[in-house]
This record gives sequence, C-alpha cells and structure tokens, in this order.
Amino acid sequence: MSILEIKNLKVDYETEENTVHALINVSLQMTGGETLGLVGETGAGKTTLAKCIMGLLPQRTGRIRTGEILYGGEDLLKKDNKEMRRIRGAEIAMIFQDPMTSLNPVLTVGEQIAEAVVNHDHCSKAKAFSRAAEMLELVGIPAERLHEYPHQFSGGMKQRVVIAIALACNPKLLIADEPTTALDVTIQAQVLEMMQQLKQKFHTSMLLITHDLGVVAQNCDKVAVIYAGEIVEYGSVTDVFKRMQHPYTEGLFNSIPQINADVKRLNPIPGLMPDPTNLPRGCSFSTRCPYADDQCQREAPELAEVSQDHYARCFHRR
Amino acid sequence: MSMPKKRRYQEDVAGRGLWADAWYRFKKNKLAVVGLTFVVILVCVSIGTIILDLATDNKVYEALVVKQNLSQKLDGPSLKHFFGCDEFGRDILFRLLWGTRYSLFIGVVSILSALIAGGLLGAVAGYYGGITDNIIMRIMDVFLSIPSMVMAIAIVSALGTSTMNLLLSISIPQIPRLARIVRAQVMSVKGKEFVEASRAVGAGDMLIIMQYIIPNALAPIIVQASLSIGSAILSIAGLSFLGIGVQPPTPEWGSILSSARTYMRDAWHISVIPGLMIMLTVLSLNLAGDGLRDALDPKMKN
Repeated sequence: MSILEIKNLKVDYETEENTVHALINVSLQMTGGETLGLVGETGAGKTTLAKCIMGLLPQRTGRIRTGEILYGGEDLLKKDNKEMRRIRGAEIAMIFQDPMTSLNPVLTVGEQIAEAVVNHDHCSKAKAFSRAAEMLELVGIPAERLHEYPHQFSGGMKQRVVIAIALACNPKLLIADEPTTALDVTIQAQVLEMMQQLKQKFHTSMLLITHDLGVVAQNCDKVAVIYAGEIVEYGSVTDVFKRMQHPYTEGLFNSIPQINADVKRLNPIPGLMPDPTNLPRGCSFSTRCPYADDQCQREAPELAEVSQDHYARCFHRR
Repeated sequence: MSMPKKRRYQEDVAGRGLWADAWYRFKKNKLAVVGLTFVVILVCVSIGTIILDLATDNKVYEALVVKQNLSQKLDGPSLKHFFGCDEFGRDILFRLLWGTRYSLFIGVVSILSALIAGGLLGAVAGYYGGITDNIIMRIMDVFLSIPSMVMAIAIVSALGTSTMNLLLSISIPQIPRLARIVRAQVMSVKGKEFVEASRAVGAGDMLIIMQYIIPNALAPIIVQASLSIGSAILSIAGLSFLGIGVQPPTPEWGSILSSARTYMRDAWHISVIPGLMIMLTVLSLNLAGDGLRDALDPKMKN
C-alpha cells in the first residue's frame, strides 16, 4: 500500500527577473514502512520536494504548476492551511538540516517537544511534558535535561532533540532533510542508527534526503537520484547501486574515493549543473554526459522502466 | 527511567516558565535590582500620595505642596526643609514626592501605550510583509518626518491641555520609532529556521508570534522602550517648560526644574535636586531595562 504518491509535480520559483525550474515532472511512490533515499547535488531540488510535501514552499516565490501529492489517497496540494496544519507534525513530520538553528533559543527543549504534542493532541501540559520526557529518553538524552535550553546541548544532542520533536506525535511519514550533514562522522553514525531503530519502532516511513551515498546504502530500501529537478534514476538500492543505468548515477559513484584503488586525483563529474533558469533543450545532463550524442541534445528522454521497478531517464540504457 | 525522577521534573517545569526563569536570572544582576528597587519606591510614593489625596480630600496636598509661604522663599536645605524651599517658599521635598506620579506615570504609561500600538503595527508589518508592510510603514514614515516636539505641541494645542492629552502627545511621536524597531526584529527572527521548524510540527500563526517571534525579538525592544521612558520624562519637562504640559501649581519635576532656571545663581538646590531626581529615575529605568534584557536571554543563564 502506498503511503505517499507524487505525480508529475512541477514547481517553479518565480522572481522578478526570471523563473527557476526547481522540479520538473517528479513522480515518486513510497510504500508504508519503507525508507526512500533522495540523492542529488546541491540545488537539485531535494529540499524543494520536501517543502512541497510539507506545504511550506515560500509563498512569495514558490509556484506549483502541475501535479498531485497524494497522501493516503488525498491530495495535499488541495488542502487549505488549517488542514495542512493538522497534518504537519501529526501525520508528516520533518527533520531539518541544521540542528543549530532549528531549535528556538528561548524555549527549553522540553517546552518545544511538549508544544508539538499539545498542537495535535490538545492534552494537558503535564501530560505533554511527560511525553516529552519519554521522547528525550528515547533519543538517548536523560530526561533530567528536559528544561535545559538548546545552547546547553552539543550539535549531535540538538539533532536528537529535533528528532524527538519530529517523532513526538508518531507521524506516519518522516522527512529527514540531510539530518546528518551538520554533524561529524561518529555522531552521524549514532544518529542514523537511532533513526533506524525509532523508525522500526513506530512503523514510520522515511524520506531521507542526502547527498551521501554511503548513508543511502545503509539506511534506504529505495533510491531516487535527482538531477536539475528531474528524477533521473529510481529503483531499489540494489538495482541502483549494482546495476546503475544513468550516466549521472555512474558519475556519482565514480566520484567517491575508493579505499583500495591507488589514484592521485578523484574522478568528479566534469562541469556544473545547468542553470535552473535556463535548462538545455534536450536531456538536462547532456552537457556533462560522456555518452551524449545528437539525440540527447535534441529531445528529452522519458523516465522508462529498465527492469521491474527500476527506472532511468536516458536514451543509452544498458 | 525511574518514575519519581520524571515527576520531579514535571513539577519543576510547571513552576518555572519563561518569566519565572527570567526573574530568577534578573535577581542575580545586582545593579538591575537596585534600579528596579528605586523604580518600585517611586511607584509606591506616587500611589501613596494619590491615596493620601483621596483620603484627605486634597487637604494635605493644599497645605504642603501648593500653599505659598513667602517668608521662607529660596531657603536652602535645612533640618526643617530637607531639600530647601522654592521661589514661593514651598517645601521641595513634598513637591518632589507629589510630583513623582506625573513624571513616572505619564512617562511609563505613554511609552507602554506607544509600545503596544507601535509593537502591534511593527509586528504585523514585519510578519506579513508585502503590501501590509508597505501601507503601515509609509504611514509611520509620515509620522516620523514630523519633529516629535512639534507634533506634541500641535496635539496639545489642538486638543487642549490636560493630562490625557499630554500623555497622547508624548506617546504618539514614539509609535513610529518603536514600530520600526519591532518590525526589523520580527523580520530577522521570522526568517530563522526554527520558525519554519515549528511550522513543520503544525504550529499556527498566533503560537509562532507569541512563543517564537516575540521572545526572540524582545531584547532590543526592551532596551529601546526603557530608554524611551527616560526621554518621555524629559519631554514632559520640556512641554511643562513651554507652558503646555502640566500646569502650575501642579508640582511636576520638569516644571520645578524650569522655574528654577531664574534662581540658579541664588538657590542651587531648586534646580539640582529635581534634576538629580529625573536623572536617578531615568538611570534606574535604564538599569532595570538592561537587567530585564539579560534576564530574558537564556544564553546569559550560566
């Protein structure tokens, strides 16, 4: 059963000078309990997708052109602000990238966790606080620190608090926007392991946004590779990692330093991502692709099924 | 986790919210406590004299504060008259005590009302932005372009001299200044990630404004407001000097000070003592405001 289904989502950011094509016909599907990794470089549209699902796109510039985001069969894009507020936190929660800035400095962590509970359960304050204490213990922070302020916590602990807030209402879907990017490696592993445990405990589905392929390999069931606002490859972790079809995915793997290969330089993908205000006419990766030919520059490839549940957007599929 | 431990913390948290916590930290700042004590004494004095007036039907006020006694005019400080007498032989100590209410209450109330009006306008402008912001702030700009003294004079001469109008004339010129500061603060806090994070757990506009934006924007606003009280007290004195503030023989500090100007060479005490009172009041308000700002910032806790 699919918990989240995104169909043909097209999002632009409109400024006075130009229009940024942030997402182009993105379609994704998530079944209950699974973890979907969303991989791509900076500016590919990962966070935009997350904000679309939450309904938190910047109102002044963000424009959703077409598409549907079906959550449990209902289109989130058609919901008004009040309905979205009920869904945010209770049904879909989000973990932000930087734990240093995503906690309110003037409220204690207990108050902030309790607030998320009160927003949705409308229970008494005392009950919300006991829930907050429970959540803190769950993410590995002693409940005694309930009424300490965010600046008294280290970065990794802050991220644990952020996770506690996100999970306080038992959401069915958790969107984690680069949850470990701001943390150092040892803490990264701890936080990810904890997220895995909690996810299993609460039967939460997770959309894990990252640019770290190692994180994806360890945590995800499925992967979507996003490039310049388009999903270029989509499939199970084994399919995408072992039988990659898109040259961009290949390039990503080639740029990872190998421990057993003796090389002087890394092997990055040449060039930069195309300007999102002015995308190439054909395949958007054609400007950097080693396999690109005339056809690639003329027309844009469709996302086609290569094997069961494994899709790629390339003319030169192998 | 053990149950007793958890219960203890619930009680603790229930007993100490943001403000209780702030008070705990405020008490640690000795200078701020001194400032607040002085302000509290002044408030008590003014409330005390008001009650005394009501109870004695202004008899004490008539006898001690207004009644002239030319035989002791310009007398210096002595045991009989601690702060000496003014040009009509009235005891300055009593005049200062009775005058406290005008300086303090008009100063505090005018800034508080300016803060509420300006704060509301600035917060709405900053939070919603766009056309709302433009309309509100351009109107504020018009007000800001009129010198505050000129506007105060205009308001008092249009509406007539009374305490209420004096209050208005002090308060209105302060609104745009406070609105600008509140707006700038709100705008900078609004863009912070934790505001978006709270939206992501389903917080509404009201909750975000009350719990997230106002507490985080408060520090410079409090400092500005406490400084403004000082300047409001000076404005009252200025207006009284021009004859459109508090009318004689009401013992307002500013008017005592300005009438003392003529006798500065012969009787220093008439100008120095009310001047000192104004200075001490403004100073303690600033100290208390400073302390309050530090107390409201949780990072200053340790």
